[in-house]
Amino acid sequence: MPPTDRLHGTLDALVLKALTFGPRHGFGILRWIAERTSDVVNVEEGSLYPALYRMERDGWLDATWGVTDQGRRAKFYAITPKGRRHLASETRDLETFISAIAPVLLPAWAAR
Amino acid sequence: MNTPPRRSRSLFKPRRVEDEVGAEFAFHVDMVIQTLVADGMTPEAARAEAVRRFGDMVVVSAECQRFGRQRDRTRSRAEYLEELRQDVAFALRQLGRARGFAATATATLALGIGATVAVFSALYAVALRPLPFTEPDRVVQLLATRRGETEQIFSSGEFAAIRDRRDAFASVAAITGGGFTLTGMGVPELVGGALVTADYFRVLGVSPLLGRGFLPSDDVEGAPRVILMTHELWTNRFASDTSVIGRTIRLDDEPSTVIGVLPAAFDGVGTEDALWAPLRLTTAQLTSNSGRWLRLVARLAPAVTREHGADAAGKAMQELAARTPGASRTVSAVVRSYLDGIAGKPRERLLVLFGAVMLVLLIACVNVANLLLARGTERARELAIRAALGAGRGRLVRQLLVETLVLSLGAAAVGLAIAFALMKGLIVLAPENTPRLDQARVNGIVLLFSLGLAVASSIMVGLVPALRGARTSLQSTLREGGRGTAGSGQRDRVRATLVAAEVALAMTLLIGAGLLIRTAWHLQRVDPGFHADHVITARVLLPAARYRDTAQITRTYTQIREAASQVPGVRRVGLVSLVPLTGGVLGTRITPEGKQLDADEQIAIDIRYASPDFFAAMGMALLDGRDFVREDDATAVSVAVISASLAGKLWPGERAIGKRIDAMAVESGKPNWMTVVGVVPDVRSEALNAPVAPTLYMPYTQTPAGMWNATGRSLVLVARTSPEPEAVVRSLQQAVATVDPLLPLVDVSTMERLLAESTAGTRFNMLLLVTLGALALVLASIGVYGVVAYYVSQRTREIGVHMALGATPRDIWRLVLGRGLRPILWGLVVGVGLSLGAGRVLRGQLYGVSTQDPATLAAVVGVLLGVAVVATFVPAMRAIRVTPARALAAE
Repeated sequence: MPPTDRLHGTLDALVLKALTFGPRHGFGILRWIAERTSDVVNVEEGSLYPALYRMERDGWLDATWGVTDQGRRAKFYAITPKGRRHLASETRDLETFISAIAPVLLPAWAAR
Repeated sequence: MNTPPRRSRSLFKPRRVEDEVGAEFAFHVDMVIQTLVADGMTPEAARAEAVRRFGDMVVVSAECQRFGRQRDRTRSRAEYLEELRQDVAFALRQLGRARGFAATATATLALGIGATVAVFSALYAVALRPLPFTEPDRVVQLLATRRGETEQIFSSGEFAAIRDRRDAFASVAAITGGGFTLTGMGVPELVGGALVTADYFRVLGVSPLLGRGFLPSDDVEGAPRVILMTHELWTNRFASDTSVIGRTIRLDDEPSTVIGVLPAAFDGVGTEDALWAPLRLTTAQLTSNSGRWLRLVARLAPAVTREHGADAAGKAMQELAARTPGASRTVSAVVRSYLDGIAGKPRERLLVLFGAVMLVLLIACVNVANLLLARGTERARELAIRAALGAGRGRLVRQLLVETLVLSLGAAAVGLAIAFALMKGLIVLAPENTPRLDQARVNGIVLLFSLGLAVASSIMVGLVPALRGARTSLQSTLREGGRGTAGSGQRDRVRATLVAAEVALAMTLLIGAGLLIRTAWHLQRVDPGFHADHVITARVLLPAARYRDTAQITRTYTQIREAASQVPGVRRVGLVSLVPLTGGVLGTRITPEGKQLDADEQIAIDIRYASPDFFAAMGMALLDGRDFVREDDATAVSVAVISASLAGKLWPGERAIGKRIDAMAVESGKPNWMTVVGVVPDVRSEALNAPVAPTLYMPYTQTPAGMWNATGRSLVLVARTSPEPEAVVRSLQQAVATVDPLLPLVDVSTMERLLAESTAGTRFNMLLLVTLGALALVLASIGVYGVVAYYVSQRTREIGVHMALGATPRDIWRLVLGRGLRPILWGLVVGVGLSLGAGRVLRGQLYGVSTQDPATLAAVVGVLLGVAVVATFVPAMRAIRVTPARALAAE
């Protein structure tokens, strides 16, 4: 698989990570990411949904339609074993990337 | 067995992708609104804000739908494959459980597929496989039509004229065949070969593997002779030695330099030629329009059709004829593909065979379909239960079709093994001169064909039973106690139809076989015009380099005849230019004395040169007049012996002896008067089933010099022997060697063998068609037996009740026999129609029998009826033994 570009890759990794704690619907995933990044990362719907459909097509995610606590019909996503493997490799790539650019752009942070 | 799909489809999922995306987005927007309202916004403002945040919903939705559709496609493919895997596994289990059925069905189909594949691979090798030429479609053979008769030969002037039509032909080459005597390498040996013009290999588009091809400078009068040879000859005679290039060998006693070796692929193009030398036409020859002796091949110019090529060649011939005094202008050319030229006749034979094996395969399919129908009845209960458990009709049909596909793929694998063995037999049995047959292989195309056959037969075999099986309703099946008689009336009808089809197909095949048997029988009774027993023939060629002078040639042949007549066991011996049945024609046109005929009205005849005693040796009884005698030499008056048909044509109702004929001399164009001294029976020059050609025999001692060149200075020694003819071959060889030790004896054969070879093609097709017909008969009778037996077994109770109510065994006979015979009669009616059509296909191969021969028809109907009655009889016997008590016990 060709290396996805950094932005896509990071979004995918965030979504997959969100789902490692259990199935969520799209809105739930957005909320999880916002909370975990203290509202710094605000993923747009226009990016999230195509990513979800793409990852579902590629078999990283599995989707089921179910009912929310409030009794509303919603599509829930769950991570598949294939998705987990991708998350692991994406995380490694991100690590390599950050440890490469950090000394250049963020010497102070890197020195920490 | 019927596991639900792994991915459970939740009940809430919208069916269409656009609805799915729409519902998901709507939910998302609602959730955002809820959050915003909870943070204190008004619902209206919250909605506006949520929609604003989402961005361009149309674009995002389109992208999601695209991914969603891709996902669905992948998923349905995966599901399909998974179901297929299950079906295959299930089919294998089912077939494993019904071993007898599986073995019978596989064997039947394998026979059909094997026979079809074997014939297909022969057909492909001989007639379909492209020749190893560049752009083989553009390589054509030219034929000349003169006064409605088509022949292969042209004059050298016509060759030059056609060659100049650059608008139609990229290149044209002339060939004259025969062979070369290879000397200086042990025993003198005749090697097949031809003299060709320099463009020959350019026409075919073949370049030498080693050395060079012919150059225009090799092909002029007086140029030293150079030769090209096949890869095969190079391997066998020159041990693949590359230093052969440049070596000088002696061909016909003329030193010839080897300049090239052709690639191995060129070995198998269906001719027996192994050596080629330039024709070296002289300038005089290139402008001469008298004497036709060259075969022409050409490469069409790009984008030129065969019709256009024929037009152009015909025009060139007509223009030349207009400039030649006395030449007939009613000439035209025919252009046919080179492949048609070498494989036309065998292709026709193989196509007939192919049709026949396809019929056998169809019968095999029908038989297996019948077996499946019977099985379908037994399985009706299982299918009904599966349907009740939720398997859709499509799924059930597919399941049953997969079962037959597995079956026919297995049969195809066995069939390939059968085909492999059959192909070897086919190569041995086929007429010896079938071109390219020896290269028949199981190759990719043949494998692909077998695969196609397997799929096609599985559909033919499985579709009707599958549709029927899947229609079975749960209720009726279970209600009838699972005895599987659901819709049995209908099922009987289908089975009866299948039997009728089977009988019709078998009948078609048997009619074909019958017509060929009758043809062979007629051929056996054709009067060949000679007595074939105890006659040996062998050709003697006098090499041009040492035998140039006509007097020397005739003197040598006289010595050879004298030497041969001294051989113990030889009773009569003669010489002739062409033996009957070996083909080859030397023709001319003649005028009887007292008539003025222009070029178009002259009578076309075959011309032969013969010695005294030839007619006696061949066993051709003189009908009138006398044989040639020693005194009919070059200094005496020219004489001729003519065939009965020629005498009848020239002087109907009159005695021919003493009358005179003018046969135009080939080279001079001056009159050449001959006096008829004898009349002999007609013989056939091509084959027994070919029409007789009016023939004129001249004494070899009066043969003009030009004719010796046209015949390659060769005559055939014909000896009638007291012992078996093969016994004298060695002594004959030694006798010829006393005259000239360098002369080879070639084409040694007996007239009996030539007779057999002449009908080899017919006998080959007859043998195979009879074999296939017998196979069809066996399959069809199994089919009939199966249907009747099944009927009886299903109706045991009904018959028992009939008996209990007072039916006599006779009534039961009538009931059961009627059941069996009705479809057979239908099949015979349809079969008559089919065989009339099939007979038309055979027409070209029949002799002395019409395609609608009533005797054949009657015989075949008789055989089929007889077999059908026997096949019905056995189960009927069982039926009359049914007693009411047994019928009830069967419940």
